[in-house]
Amino acid sequence: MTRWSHLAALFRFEWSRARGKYDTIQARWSAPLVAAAFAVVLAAVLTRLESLPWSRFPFVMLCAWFLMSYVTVPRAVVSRDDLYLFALLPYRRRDLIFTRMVVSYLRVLGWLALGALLVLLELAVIGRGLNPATLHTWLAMFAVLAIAAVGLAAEAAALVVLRNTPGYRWISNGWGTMSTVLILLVGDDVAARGPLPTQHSVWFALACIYVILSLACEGLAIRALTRGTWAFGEDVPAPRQSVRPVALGSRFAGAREQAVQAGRKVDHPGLLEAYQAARQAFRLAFPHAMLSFHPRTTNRAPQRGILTAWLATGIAVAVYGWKTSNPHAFVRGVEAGLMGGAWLWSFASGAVVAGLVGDMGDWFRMLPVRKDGVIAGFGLAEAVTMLPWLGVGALASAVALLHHEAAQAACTEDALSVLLALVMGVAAGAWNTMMSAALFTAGRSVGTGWALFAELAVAVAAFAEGGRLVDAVEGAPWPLVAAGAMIFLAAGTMLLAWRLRVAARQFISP
Amino acid sequence: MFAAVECDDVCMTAGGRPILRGVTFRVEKGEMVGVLGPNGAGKTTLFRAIAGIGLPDRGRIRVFGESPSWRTLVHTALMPERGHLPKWLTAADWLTHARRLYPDWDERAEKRLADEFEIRLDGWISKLSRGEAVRLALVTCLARRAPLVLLDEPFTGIDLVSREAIASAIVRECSGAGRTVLVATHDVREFESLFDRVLFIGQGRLVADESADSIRARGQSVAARYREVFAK
Repeated sequence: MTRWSHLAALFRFEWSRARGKYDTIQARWSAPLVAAAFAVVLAAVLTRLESLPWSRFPFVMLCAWFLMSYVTVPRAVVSRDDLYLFALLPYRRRDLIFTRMVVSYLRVLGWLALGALLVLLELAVIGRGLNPATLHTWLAMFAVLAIAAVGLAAEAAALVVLRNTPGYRWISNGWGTMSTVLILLVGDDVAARGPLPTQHSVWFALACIYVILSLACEGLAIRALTRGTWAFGEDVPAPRQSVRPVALGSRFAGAREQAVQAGRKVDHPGLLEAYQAARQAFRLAFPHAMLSFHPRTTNRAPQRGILTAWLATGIAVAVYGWKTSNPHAFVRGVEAGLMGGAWLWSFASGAVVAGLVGDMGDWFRMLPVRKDGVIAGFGLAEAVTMLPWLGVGALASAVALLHHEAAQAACTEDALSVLLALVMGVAAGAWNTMMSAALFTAGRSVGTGWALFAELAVAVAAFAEGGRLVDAVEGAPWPLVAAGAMIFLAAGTMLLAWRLRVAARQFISP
Repeated sequence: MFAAVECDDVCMTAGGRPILRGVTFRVEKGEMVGVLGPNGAGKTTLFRAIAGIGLPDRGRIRVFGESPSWRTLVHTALMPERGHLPKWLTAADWLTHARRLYPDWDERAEKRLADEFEIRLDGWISKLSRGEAVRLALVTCLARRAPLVLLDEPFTGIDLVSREAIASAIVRECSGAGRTVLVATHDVREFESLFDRVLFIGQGRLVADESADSIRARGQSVAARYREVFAK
């Protein structure tokens, strides 16, 4: 066998991993369909909001479509076990990493090609051909995205190694955001009022920097794989020693008898008794789950890296606010960022909770309390992790507001507005953490894909119109606000209870 | 003449915690050696280092005269403690990939072992029981004609009857071909009569290195000696 035949075997093996196990027709097509729906809706909303000509619609859509490749083309979903399997193969470490990169690149390019097809379809629907005047921008955009795809592929190949290597973990936190910044910049350029940009050198320069950094990170990953430092990532003790170790079983041990008692009382329940029993059992599960999970959420090493990234974002925002000539517009922007960010983060937090529930497996199934209560408790504890994001944003806006003497008169008003955004962000984020925990725990399905679509749509809406929403709530009469809050609370609780119940059932008997 | 495995003052740390502390031993070609020790003694880390997955902080390891790296993985078959099998494939698909991936794959041995271990070829690996996954990992390891075989806890999750069948399969596949075998295990009984030597490892140190014959000559079993060494 030659080296090429070995590489071909490695390629086929990696391709099989990238295809995944659930390779049914529905699973294969649901992701592109959801992504296409999301990209079209987002592009339509942005085109409408910004009063752009409809000829811009396909450009915006392509950016949104490419962003969706983060979700649909697996980047770092490979588990540590899979990494171990690769490390045991008798191949050069760089061959392992580069083969994975090539496979990922082909998949991202395939995704981009699907996007191009979608663009052509849209142009046909809105009755336009490829306009020669915009052809240059189209070609530049495709070229930049194809270059950025190299960086994405490098991430897919190397991120899991870096995440498991204590010395390099911090890199993995910031690296993933670079491509997002690039795509948002391209999107911002094509979605701006006025003529399309004719100079694209900034796009290319940023894409090249991203690729160079990605390849450097890939070099670090090869080094970590060679030295085997990734294999000992899990053995690193938590540096914060002040947190008491919590035995999950002991937390729930006291609840066992009470839960049994609750069950005995309602052998043949009527509706009210059933409700009361459910409420009692839920009350037993929820606080115990929250107390058990809380030390884990506040003592996770990777999150400290993210905290650093957030702090940097906060400083950048504060500097921008310091220099802005329109503090009120700045505050509205911060409010939108707070709410959109909290919503997105809480969605990811739900996935963390579901991951924990999956890891616990039968231990989770054996907990002697209501499992939907436990998921909700874990979710609420995990929701604590969005507070630094909100806090940093609020602090940045406070710094900027205090600086602007001209805004002193409106300072109190704006500060209250930020406070309201904080409250709304906390409430919506906490609810969404529990909701997405339920969705992810219920398992991977087409429904989860649509839920993801809805989540992203809400996040985009919050980023775009969060400030206006806060202003609207602030300006509304308080009885109306109170009534609206009550309605949202009731509907949200009912929806959440239903999804949590479905998730618990599906997890217990899949 | 190179030894199959040679460790000289090997030290390894993880997250600042010492895992191996100055381990020194030499295993000759064709030997079957038991690496015995309680949980957390450093057996898995030692196997990782010999396989070239982790580099030692200090000391020297040689596998057939070479430093462990991806090159030595060509003639080293490691069965890790946890299966580490591709969960996205069926057993049959994995064995098909393995035939192409490993240059020393023996298809006849694969078929023989798959039959003997009653592997469910059409089952998803993610759905296999722990015992089935261990058996599939053993097939993956033994179907290679690698001259060095490292088995990390091969009996985890395996029932008593199957253990005997597995032990005899290991002996048949390895002894006949003159392979060197290192077995890290707590379950000494099935291998009791098969070990040429035993290395007792505790708290990252080599506590004792004795030939099985010398233990037997003292009228002790390996299991009894294990208890004696680690009872303190």
